[in-house]
Order: sequence, then structure tokens, then C-alpha cells
Amino acid sequence: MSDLKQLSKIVSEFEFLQPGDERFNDAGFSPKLLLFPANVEELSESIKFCNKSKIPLVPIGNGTKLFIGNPVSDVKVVVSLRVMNKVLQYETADLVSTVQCGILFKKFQRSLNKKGQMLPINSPFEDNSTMGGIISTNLSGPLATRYGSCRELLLGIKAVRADGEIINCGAKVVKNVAGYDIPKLMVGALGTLIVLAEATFRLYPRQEFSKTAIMVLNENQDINDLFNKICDIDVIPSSFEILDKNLTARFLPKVKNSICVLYRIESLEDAVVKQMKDLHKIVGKKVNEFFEIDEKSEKNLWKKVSSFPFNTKSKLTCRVNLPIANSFKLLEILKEINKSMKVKIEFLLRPQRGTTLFSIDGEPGDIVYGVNLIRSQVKALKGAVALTSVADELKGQVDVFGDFGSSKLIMKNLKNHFDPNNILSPGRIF
Amino acid sequence: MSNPNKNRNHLWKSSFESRLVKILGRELVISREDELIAYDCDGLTGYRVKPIFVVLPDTTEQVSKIVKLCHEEKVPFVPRGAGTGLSGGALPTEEGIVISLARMNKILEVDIPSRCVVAEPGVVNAWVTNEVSSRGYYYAPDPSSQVVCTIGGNVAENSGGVHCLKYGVTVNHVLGVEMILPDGEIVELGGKTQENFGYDLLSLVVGSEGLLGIVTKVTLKIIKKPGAVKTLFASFEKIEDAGEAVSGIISGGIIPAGMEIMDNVSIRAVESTVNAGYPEDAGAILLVELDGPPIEVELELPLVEDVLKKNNAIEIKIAKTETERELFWKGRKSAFAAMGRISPEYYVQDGVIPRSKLAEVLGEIGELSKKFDLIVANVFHAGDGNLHPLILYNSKNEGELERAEVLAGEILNVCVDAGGSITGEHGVGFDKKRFMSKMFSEQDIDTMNLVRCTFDSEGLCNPGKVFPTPRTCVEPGMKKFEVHPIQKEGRGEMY
Ligand SMILES: Cc1cc2nc3c(=O)[nH]c(=O)nc-3n(C[C@H](O)[C@H](O)[C@H](O)COP(=O)(O)OP(=O)(O)OC[C@H]3O[C@@H](n4cnc5c(N)ncnc54)[C@H](O)[C@@H]3O)c2cc1C
Repeated sequence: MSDLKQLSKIVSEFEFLQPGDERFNDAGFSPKLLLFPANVEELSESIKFCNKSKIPLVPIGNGTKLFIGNPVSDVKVVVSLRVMNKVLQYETADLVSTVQCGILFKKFQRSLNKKGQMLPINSPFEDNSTMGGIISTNLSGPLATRYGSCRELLLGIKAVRADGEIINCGAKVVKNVAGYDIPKLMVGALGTLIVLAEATFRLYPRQEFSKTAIMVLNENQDINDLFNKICDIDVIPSSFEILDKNLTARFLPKVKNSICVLYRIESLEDAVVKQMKDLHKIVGKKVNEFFEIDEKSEKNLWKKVSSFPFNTKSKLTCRVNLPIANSFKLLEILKEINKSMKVKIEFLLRPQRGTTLFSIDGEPGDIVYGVNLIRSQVKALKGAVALTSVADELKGQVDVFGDFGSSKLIMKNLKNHFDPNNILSPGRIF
Repeated sequence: MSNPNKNRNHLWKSSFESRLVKILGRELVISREDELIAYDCDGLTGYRVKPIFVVLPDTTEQVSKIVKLCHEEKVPFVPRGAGTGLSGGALPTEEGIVISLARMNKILEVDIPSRCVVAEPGVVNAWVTNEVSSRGYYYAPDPSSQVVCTIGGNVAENSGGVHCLKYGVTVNHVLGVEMILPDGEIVELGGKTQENFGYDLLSLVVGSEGLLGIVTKVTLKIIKKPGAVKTLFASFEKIEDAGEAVSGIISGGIIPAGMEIMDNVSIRAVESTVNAGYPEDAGAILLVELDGPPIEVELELPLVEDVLKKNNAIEIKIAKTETERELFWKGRKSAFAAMGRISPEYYVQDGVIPRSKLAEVLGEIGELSKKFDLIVANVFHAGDGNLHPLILYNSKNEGELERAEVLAGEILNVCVDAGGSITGEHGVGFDKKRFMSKMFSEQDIDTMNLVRCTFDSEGLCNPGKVFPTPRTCVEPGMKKFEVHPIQKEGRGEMY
């Protein structure tokens, strides 16, 4: 029996892919076998087998973000957690819940919402993402302004190591310092260190009321100054975003030739109403327009913002992390490149996080030149750029992660220690 | 762990010393027996080991050189901050040196526009807030030892505080570190950014209890001071009701900045020393602090009062002035010290349970206290289920210390059985390594060892801590004992 046939016998559900199957085209590899382990034991046995036979594999949830990271090389097996999709434990008084990692974010959130609670995450592909995928890619969305990224919410994991051993790390309580924080290490690790089977999250009460204000400005108005004024107000926004001219035009077509600031407050109703009034009093005169949007438009708008930069047809998209103050300098750099080069850039700044997301389109040569230019300037500003999507024609022309600096060697060592045979998403990061 | 240094002679020792002196100068290398004693333990004074030398570097380069020397000579080293740790994390190793970071105590940069402060590891926790307070900011993690403990120690222990229910612990407030790896190399993890790409090594280092390297610089997040703060306490006849009230407040959608419970034993101890105004006959008091934008605090206060009343609060007292608020807190913060009044000795346990099990677990602790015939006072961060039972004993009474130790362990059993953790903020260190196996399997601990070996393949950095049994850095699959082929074939036996 061939290795793959033998492997398929380990799990209750599997599928051999036919030549020409296009499901993994976006991901840039063509697996032959898809495994759907029904439980952590099947997951463990299948990975143990792959490790012994040195068969590289890619763990996936629902496969919405397989294009993130460097392309994996030579992968024949995909292990999908789709069947492991249950809420395992949920005690509302603890504000903690444990789920299997194949659960859809949407389904999980719905069960929490029913009890007046939530997992304060929004990320692209919200409708189809699984919790495992959300942890592994760490594409935190607008709510990160108030609640931080997934890293701040993940308390514990059950996982399968590259050698097939089942492990538990972290805890199921909100406070714990026993042992290294291995759960947090898995946030953003792109499935290259271990395979996540279960995750325990810290939850939050769902806020009673939400309102979003939109502030419209001229492109050359001093946005940094406005930011400081807004930050001086005694409000903790749940989301706070600055959209450039191009993105404003796309997300808010009624607003012409301007940039805009989106500011969302969620709290008790009376508090939100009062805080919105305060905000208007202080910044209303400093902007060209200030308006609040209704509930339905609010929902739509935030969904669009959360999906950026994946709701664009641009050939390349990036995520940038900078010190908060320097992120405003990037804004100028991007504006300048947009004007002076033959590329079209759309961008969004999450100012209290120092995170910028942008898409860039144009001739391949111009894009490569533009991104490299941005990367070198960002580096000088003590930040980093990672590509989040790249069109086929540009693959391999721009480094996905750039330079990890002095920590690169430790990262590489860590990968070697966790996965000595390099079977978990090989090449994705290293 | 085998000790390669056992047979080192005087000659070696004096040559090693002179090499340290060459790096640091005479005054910064401590070798006199009477001076070394000051470093033989941390806040857990029951364990004491005298190091061979203590060094007090001033700069990152000096730390790097010292560590390189230790690496070359295979001398174990233990980083030390203020020595307030409660799990023996900074306990010296035999035949090893202590690297005290106490002199590296400068705040290097205050960067308000990027909301951060860059500090050396010896900076005392409270100094950070003092430095930025006038500009409306503060550093959130506030361990009760904050006027003494250092940022380096906080990073190593991932320390919490009374406000971490709402604001998180140290790991949520550290943006970056500069660190000396156990071979002496300098690395930077993170920086001034809120997020980073690649593996999150920073999350490993925070809470690593000084086993992965020596932190020489830390970038801390600072946040805006809340516009309003309201502090109140409620007294209850039964401690279980106080526990229910905590759950009620949280499941009602309110996350206070802090929620602390003290039982009757603690209340009486505190009242006899600081006079915080707690009712001495109450079974328990629950201290609640709400903070945030003024309008939110104003709206939340009556909701909290409602929950307290529904859970049979006898009396609710809201602090009317800042002085009164400080007094309420002073009572809580001096609880450990006050215990000294009613018992010559006590052991502070640190365990975590799911909030919803509070009443149940307190009942079990009560039973244990009876069974072991020792008084247990309960003071805890109720909001996050972090218990600090104080076990009172007198070692002059025969067998009491031993009983106290067993009882402390039993309490951890109760916590783990309830689905919790063996430590919420004090760390595993030397003291609790034997309890690691209660919470984790061999495989879990081996996985942690993979992390340690990535950073420290020779096990020189703070050895003998955290891991229940000595572990070497071989691939986990290879480490298991296997019968030698010669034995299998019956050609030889091992004796
Ligand atoms: C009265 C009292 C109250 C306390 N209250 C709290 C509380 O509310 N919350 C809480 O979390 N803790 C509390 N603690 C425990 C203690 O204060 C914390 O663990 C604190 O973080 C230790 O800091 P330190 O500077 O004293 O570190 P030390 O005790 O000197 O060292 C602690 C650990 O950190 C390592 N370390 C120190 N500096 C470095 C460095 N630069 N690089 C790498 N490793 C290093 C040491 O090797 C050791 O393992 C309390 C202790 C006392 C005595």
C-alpha cells in the first residue's frame, strides 16, 4: 500500500484529490490527499505517521487564507480541522470558552452572543474562517484598538506536536503563569510549529449599544493633530480607523475627494450618546463634516473595513507595524508614492495600534519598486512590512516577511526544535 | 542536573573572579562571604543557597561579557532584580553566580507620542508611572510589591496586580525587550510596535522566570489614566455570597478594574493594624473598583450596587474622597503584612480557579484548614479567580511547618481539580516545580523544554527552576530510554 493510502486509513473521513482539482490553486500547491480527522486522537495518529514517513503537510481550517506567508513547498497532504468544530466548554460566569479549532468563528460567536457575550475579534473572511485559522494568521481587525489582538485573548491550547504527541499548554482560567506561554507563540505562527486542536479564549460582555461617527477631512489637513485631540477625550473607542482618499471613495461613495476617520464607541446606551456628543463638541469644528451612521450602514461599513485589504483586486497587499507616532509618517510616505509613481495605493491606518494595511496596484515592476521603497522607509521608522497577498505574476519578487532582525536565528532554531523533520507547512516562514 | 563545577578549586575560582573584575571593576564583584549572604534567597526565605559571586553590571555590554564568560567556563548564572519573588526564582544555584540588575535602573526614554517608556530592567515598577503621571499616563500592571520590585523581575514573572482583571498582566504591556542570550549574544525582540511578524518570542520571554536569558532593556506600554475612578466595598455574612456577587457583576456585563475579597481572618488582621474601616464582624468583604470614562463609571455604579444587594450584602460603602479610597486599598494591600500580627509565620499560596467555582473551592479550603488544624486566611484577586490563601503556622510547634507545607500542596490540588492553575502570578520558580506535573503531562513539559533548549542549549541560565525534573536538550523523540541492541540480543546487561 502506498504511504498516502495507509495514511488515509487512519482517519474516519478523507478525500483523494483528482488531477485538475482547483481548490488549492490560490494556495499555490496541489495536495493529493485531504484528511478530516474526527478527533484529536486521529489528528495525532495521522501526524505521527507523516512525521515517521517524512510526509510534509499543511494544517488548515476552512482554507480561506492559505495564500498568507511564503508558498509551501512540495506538500501532498492537507489536514483539515473542519470536522472538529464543537464548543467544548462554556461557563458564562467565567467568561471563558473552549472550542475545537475547526469551529467557524461565526458559529462560535453566535453561541456567545446568545448569552450576551462575545469574542472581540473581527478579521477578514469572517463568515468562513475557523478559530484555528484566525489564531494562526493573526490578522487582527478594527476591534484590536480596544481589545488587542488574538494574542490577548488566547488562554490555552490542546495541540498535536510534529511528532504526533498530544499536548496541553496554558490553562482554562484567565490568569496563569505556569510554564512558558506556548499558546501565544502559536498566534501568527501559520501552522508551522504544531497543529492546534482546541483553544480556550477569554471572552467579553457584549456591549449594549454601538455608534460610529465619521469625520471627513481634506487630504492635506493635519491628521496627527486631530488624532491627538481625539485621544485627549475621555472615551475608549472600540475601533478607530483612518481611511485614505481611495478607500474612502470605495467604502463611502457619498464622501467626495476626502479622507475620513471612523470612530466607534460601544458601551451602555446613555454613555455612548453622551460620549458622541463630547466628541462632536471637541472635533466637530476641526473637520469638514461630522456625522453618525445608522445601525445597518454601520454593520456594513465595519465588515468592509474588517475585510480590507482582501476585498481588493490589487496585485499586492501588505500589513505594516510601526510605533504609533511613526505610523503617521507612513501615511505621508504612502500619499507621496501614490502621487508620484504610477501605482494605485489604498490604505487604512489603525492609529492606536500603529497598524497600517495597504494594497498596491500597477505594473509589476512599479509595484516591486514601490513596496521595496516602502519597506526600507518603514525599517528606518523602526517598523516592519509583511505581504498579505501577492498575485502569481509577482510571487517570489518581493520577500514576504522582510527582515526579522536579530531574532531570526532563534526563530529558525525554534522551528527546528518543534519540527525537526520540517513537515509542518515547510517553507511558510522558514 | 549534574554539576560540572563541583571539583573546581581555589585557583580556578580566583582566576574566574579576576576575569569578572576585569569586566566590571573591583567594587562591582561581590565575593566576601558576609556580603554574599544578602543574596542567598529571594522573597521566599525558606530556601537559601550562597552563590560563589554576585556581580552588579551597569551596562548591557557588561552583562553580555559576563554571560559570555559564564558560557565559556560553564558557570550557571541567576538573574536577579529586587529579590521580592515569592517562588524562589532568584534563588542562587550552587557553584553559580548571581547577576543583579539592580544598578541598571535608568528610565532611558519616555515616548508619549508612541505611548511607551523604555526602561532598564532594574527600574522599580512604580517609577514608571511616576515618570509619566504628570502627563496623564500610567503603567498598568501594579503588583502589591510595586514600590520595590523591578521591571526585569516583572517581565520574568509576568506579574499581575490588583487591576489586571481589566487591564491584563505584564505580557499585555510589554512591547519589546533587549536580551542577552545564554551564550552572551544580544538580541532584540519586539520594539515599540504593538504587533510583530514571525514567531512571538516576546510572549515566551515574558513569564519565562529568567530561564531564557537576561533582559537588559524593556519597552513598556503606557496608557491614559482613566477619567474617573470609584471604589467601594461591601460586607457579607458569608464569603460564598461575596463570591457569587463577583460572578454576578461580571456576567452582568461589567468588568471592574479590580475586585478583591478578604475573609474574616484577614479583615480582623488588617483592622488591627491599619484601620481601613472594614467591619470586623463581617464574614467577608468585597472591594470593587470601577474606572473609565466618567459617564460609564457613573452608569455602572448603581448596577454594581444592585448585584451586591441581590447577593445579600450587609453594608455597601463608597469612597467619597481620594483619601478614603486610598484607605480602602491600604487595607487590602497590607493584608499580607498584617498577618504577621496574628501569626509568627505564614506561607502565601498562589493558585487560580475558574471564577464560577469560587464558593465551592473556598468550602474545600475551609475543610482542609480544619483537617490540618491550621488557620488559613483568604485574600484574593476575586475577579480573575486568583487565590492567595495565607497559611498561618508557627515552626516552633513541632510538625506545624510540615503540616503547613502539605496543606499548601493540597490547596493546589483543589485548584487544579477545579480546572485552574498552580500559579496565577508568583511563578513556579524553585518552590512549585514539583507541582508542574499536577497540571501538565510529561509531553507538555517536554514541549516547554523545546523552548528552553532553543534559547539555552546548555542549561546555564537559572537552572533547577520551573522544570520538575532535570531535562537535557536532546530531541524529545530521542530522549526516551531504549534498550541497547546489545541487551536485546542478550549479549550484555546493564548494571
Ligand atoms: C509583599 C509582596 C507582594 C507581592 N505582590 C505581588 C502581586 O501583587 N502580584 C505579583 O505578580 N507578584 C507579587 N509579588 C511577587 C514579586 O514581587 C514579583 O514576582 C516581582 O515581579 C519580582 O520582581 P523582583 O524585581 O523582586 O524580581 P526577583 O525576585 O529578583 O526575580 C524574580 C525572577 O525574575 C528573574 N529576573 C529578575 N530580573 C531579571 C532580568 N533582568 N532578566 C531575566 N530574568 C530576571 C529572576 O531570575 C527570578 O527568576 C509580591 C511579593 C511581595 C514580597
